[in-house]
Amino acid sequence: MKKNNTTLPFLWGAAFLAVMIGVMLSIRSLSGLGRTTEIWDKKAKDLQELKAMRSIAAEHRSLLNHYAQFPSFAPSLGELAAKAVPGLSFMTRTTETHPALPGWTAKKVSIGLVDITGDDLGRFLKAVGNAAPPWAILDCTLSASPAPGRLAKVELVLETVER
Amino acid sequence: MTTPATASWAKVAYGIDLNEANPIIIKAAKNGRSLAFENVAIDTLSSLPTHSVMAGCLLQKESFTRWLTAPIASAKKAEKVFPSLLDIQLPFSVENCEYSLLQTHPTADRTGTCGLVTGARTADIEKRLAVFSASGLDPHLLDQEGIALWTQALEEVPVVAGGPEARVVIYLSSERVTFAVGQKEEFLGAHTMRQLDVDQLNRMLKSYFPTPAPVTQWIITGPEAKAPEATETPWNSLALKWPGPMKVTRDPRFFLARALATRALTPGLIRCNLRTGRFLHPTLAQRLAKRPYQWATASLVAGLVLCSINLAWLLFVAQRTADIQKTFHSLATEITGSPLGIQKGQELLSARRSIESRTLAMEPFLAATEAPITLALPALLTVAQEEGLTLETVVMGLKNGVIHGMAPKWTQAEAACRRLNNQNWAATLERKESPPGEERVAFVIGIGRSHEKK
Repeated sequence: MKKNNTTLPFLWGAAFLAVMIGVMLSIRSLSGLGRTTEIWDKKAKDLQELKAMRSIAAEHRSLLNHYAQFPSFAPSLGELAAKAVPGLSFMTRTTETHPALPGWTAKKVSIGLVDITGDDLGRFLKAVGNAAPPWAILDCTLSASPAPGRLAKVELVLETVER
Repeated sequence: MTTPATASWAKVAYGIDLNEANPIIIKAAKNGRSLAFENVAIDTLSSLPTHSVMAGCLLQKESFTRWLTAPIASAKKAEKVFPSLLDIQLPFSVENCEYSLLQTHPTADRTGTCGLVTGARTADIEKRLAVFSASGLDPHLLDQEGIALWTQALEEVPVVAGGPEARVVIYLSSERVTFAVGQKEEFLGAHTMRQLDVDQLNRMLKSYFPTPAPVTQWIITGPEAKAPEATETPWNSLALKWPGPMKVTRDPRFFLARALATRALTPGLIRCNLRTGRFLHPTLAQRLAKRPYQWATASLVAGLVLCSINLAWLLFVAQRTADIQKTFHSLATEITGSPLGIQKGQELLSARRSIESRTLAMEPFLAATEAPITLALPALLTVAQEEGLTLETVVMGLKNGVIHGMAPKWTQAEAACRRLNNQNWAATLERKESPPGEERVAFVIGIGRSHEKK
């Protein structure tokens, strides 16, 4: 076997260098292993939170799509009351409008009903709940009437969103 | 650098017993963990296949075996003084010898070290190689006859627990009688004579066992080996002095050649090669010369593998971190609706802020969908009517409400509260003092969304 005299020292030198670099890299990898695992664990938790937020965002989008199918304006409470309980006396006033999401406005209306039966109130509530877009009752105050089955006074605050 | 006594790199070994006019040659081939033996003719060796090795031996008369004792407990240090001790014991200078230390073990009192050494005079090695050369043979390894006989006998006729302590292996041929003596598995020594001389044998055995062992295992082998007749005088005399079972090995004619081939191929007890130093076979010399290169290359490869594994790990970590970052950015973009304004590392914060502001803006939409009062009010009125409650005032907001009323009995107020709770409302009941003269029970029910309980 004819080999140059410099081959063996060169081989040993290269081997020494490779082993040293390998050992140094191993030390670096091993010392950073705990920190890497810690970071990955934290990232996994953050990922869970992001996924949960993504599902909330998806619910929001789905709700907006649902509202987008409704007419731009909600039916007035007067119309709904007249349709649900003909001859019902009431008094409405728009208390507030404020922008919701871009392109949408939230409208808050209060309505006062006097001397109404429980059944009529139920029909009215059903009508406002089924309207398109629906009215949501934010606040309600009922006062009993001495007459059985009737309510002396009903104060409702309702809200809807319109485009 | 020490010369290996076994050619473990070889797949085939040829053991040569130059005992007779026609050399006995046994080919041993590795067959899994065992060896397959075959008797071959001498012309088979004219062209040796690669990965094969030829093994001959120095006869007992041309070589020596000695147990040396150094008064040093450390085996490594003892190894350094064994040559001097050997020099004292030999009738010729150790410098004119090739020798090999085969085994060491501490002395019985553990203050010294015993070492088994075998060797031969260089002149004898030269002569033996010349004999081989005359037959057209050039063995790679030169074993020692007595030791080869001993280890092969151990392999073929193993020591039995509780069996004879003394063990004698006798090789019988027309030219010589060689015998190896030992105790259990330990080799004690080997000798040779022109022909079987029972008295000499008896004297030599007595030098190893001053008090004759109660039972001696006799192993008879060699071209002239045969089961001795009980009436044969020499054996009869030996059997009387050294009683014990006598066993002839299988294929005794090929025993020594088989031993040499086995020892050349497989590492094991007291292996030796006396063809060292200036007698070293060129093939082995070449292999030995390659060894530093092989070690250096192996170290280089190991270092490169270590580097590669670590680089692969670092790349994997970087790739995984990038993947996680990418997933984070993609999710944050999906949540906020736009990649703008999402800084690297701030994805979670951006997403949180976006979802918080959006949830606030979505409240009017959510209120209508969840409709707590729209659902609660009809349910409340129904429960009140069925339980016979009189509601005086009901005040409800989006999250909670308060109901003041009167019940004919307290149990009916409790039943109403229970029914509201069963309908996923968090209702709490409180008793109030009834006005004077009022028989009914005054109560207050607090109502909230069931999840508000938490």
